[in-house]
Amino acid sequence: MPMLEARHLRKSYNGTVAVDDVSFCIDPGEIFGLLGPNGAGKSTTINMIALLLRPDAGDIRVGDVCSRESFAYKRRVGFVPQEISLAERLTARENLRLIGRLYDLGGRVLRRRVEEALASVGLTDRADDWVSAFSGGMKRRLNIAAALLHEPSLVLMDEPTAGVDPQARVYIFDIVRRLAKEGRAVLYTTHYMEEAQRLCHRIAIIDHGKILVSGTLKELVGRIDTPRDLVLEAPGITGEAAKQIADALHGAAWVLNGDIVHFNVADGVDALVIAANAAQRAGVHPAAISMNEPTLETVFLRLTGRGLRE
Amino acid sequence: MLRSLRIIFLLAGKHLRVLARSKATLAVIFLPGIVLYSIFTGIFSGPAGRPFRVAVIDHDQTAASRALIDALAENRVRLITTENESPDGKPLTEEAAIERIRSQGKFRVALVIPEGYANGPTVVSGARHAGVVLYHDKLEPIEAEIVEGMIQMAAGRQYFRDLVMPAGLSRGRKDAASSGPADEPDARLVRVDRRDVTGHRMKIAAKHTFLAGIIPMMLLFSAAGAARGLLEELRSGEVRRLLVAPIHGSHVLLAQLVSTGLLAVVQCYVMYVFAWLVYGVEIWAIAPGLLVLTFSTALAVSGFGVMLGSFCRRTEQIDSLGTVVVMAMSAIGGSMVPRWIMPDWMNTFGLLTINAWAYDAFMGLVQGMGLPGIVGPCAVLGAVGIGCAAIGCQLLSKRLQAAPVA
Repeated sequence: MPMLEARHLRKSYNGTVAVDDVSFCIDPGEIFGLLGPNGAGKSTTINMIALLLRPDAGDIRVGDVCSRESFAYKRRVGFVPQEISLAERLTARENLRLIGRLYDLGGRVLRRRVEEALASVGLTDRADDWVSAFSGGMKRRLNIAAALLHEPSLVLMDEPTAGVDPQARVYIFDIVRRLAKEGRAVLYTTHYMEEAQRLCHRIAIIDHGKILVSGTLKELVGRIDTPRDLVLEAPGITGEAAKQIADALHGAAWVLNGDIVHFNVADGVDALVIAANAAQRAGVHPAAISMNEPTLETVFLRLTGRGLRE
Repeated sequence: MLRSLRIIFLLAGKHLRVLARSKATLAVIFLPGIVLYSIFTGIFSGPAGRPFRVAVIDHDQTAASRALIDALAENRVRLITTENESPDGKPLTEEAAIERIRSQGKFRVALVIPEGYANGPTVVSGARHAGVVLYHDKLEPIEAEIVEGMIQMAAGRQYFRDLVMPAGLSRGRKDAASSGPADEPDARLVRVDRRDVTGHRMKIAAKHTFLAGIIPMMLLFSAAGAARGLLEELRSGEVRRLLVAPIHGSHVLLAQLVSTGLLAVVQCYVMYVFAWLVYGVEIWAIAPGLLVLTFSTALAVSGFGVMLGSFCRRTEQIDSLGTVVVMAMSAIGGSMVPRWIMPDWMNTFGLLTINAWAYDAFMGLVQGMGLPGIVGPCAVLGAVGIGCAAIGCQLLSKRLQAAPVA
């Protein structure tokens, strides 16, 4: 049974459709990435799942609880917003205690959960400092801890690494992976495709309010007809030799850049063999020959026609 | 229900805790009211240095009575003789003058010159004279003393001109010897019958007027500040964070209402205690009414703050719109200029403001109306608070649905 089931979600603002028939599921222990350029409908989708927005149509379930049972539903969902949504003039511990009490935690249970949450994000030593004294990365970690206090089954993370340094980002990745290992479902939106590639078990690409494609990275790459980038490095290679190799690769487009030639080829392994043989015939001695597989970025560009930050 | 209350007070407690940690904010909340109150009370306390208003009712209508009035007019007093205070208006009646001293504070003193005054205008000339009546506020004695001094001085001059000068000084001495002051319990030139019209009520003084006016103005400024805080919480995502938890949007707004209201109550009592300690305002005699008034006013201003915070989209809007609205309400509601100075139409217009209702209720208390006498204004204040909060809830709900990322 999926942990999150979103079916046919639709939302429009003043006649403009922001989310149009979006459906997806997330299993327990799965990290699901939602990728899309600005205005694609990611935030609207995640806000509907967090019950911050009422969908015009569609159903959302977390486990066996329907979103209409709002309080029971909310107790199963943890939300890590993009903003540092914590009181700056409260300490880390006070912030967590406040949020815990909103989920009806109290007494020893609350104390234990707060200490566990602080420890899980590495902030035990700074628990009694005001949040205003924290670095950006520490605030992000506390933001995550606040979403985990009530031990949710589903964690919604809206660009949790925005604006943090690489070290803090790695720390946050570890937390996300740990959440998945604990069996929680994670819905993760990010602008960084490298993050999605590294973290997410499955990815959905959303644009103009619709999910264009979803699946594992391998499935996504397999679904699009994208040429691979074959790179051949040979000292002193000439344009004539490069043309001979390109002809052997069924007339592949090529670009010579110093000692390196890039060929756009349709197939992977065969092309490598063909290129090596053609190089020998052309009197070229390759120092290196490799194939760059299409990345998520390639898939994204191909599907949306634009970059994530556009 | 209990859970809702717990959550509202939990969030309100958080607001107050955050507030308590900012010394600058606390200073802005509490100091301006005390400073303004001290300045205005200092400026307007006592009659020295400024003309004050004296109602005059002349039943005698003789040359002697007119001479007395003219002599008074030469002093720093403003004489009011007609109902609408214009020269050709309906003559002021004794009853109306008393009422205006008693309940409106429009005059401190009313001088009544009875019929027959001209027949025996001075004590030293015989005992048949009618004297004058001076209605006044017993606990505001300075103005009455000054007016009586003026009357005696004017009568003395008149006596000197009419009797002594034509006949020589010996006549005056003879008069004085024959019906001398020793026969009279009151040895002054004109017998002045001073009558207190306020009984044991507290006086209407600058210290009351400005306390009544400045408190609602300061509370409204604080409420505008709280509205700014709400807007910042919306922008920073704090409200979104809260709404993800199993609570309603109304909890967030009611918490704002409670924290702003509690802060307003504390602000009020800081001002009351300051006024009591420094200016001797007798707050303890009116404590029950003051408590009800304080909570009603706090509810009204906090409702106003919630509505303002939900209505405005940007903090700059609150800074400009909030300031303009609060200043305008304060100006027409009696916070800057006492309401008894204003013309009647402005007094009526002022009732559109929170300030005016709070002002009237406070003045009612110090004039001895007691708790029953202020139930009406307090009910209006409470209704305004609830109405504003309801509008704020609606606005915020629509706004969150329209744009979740505020």
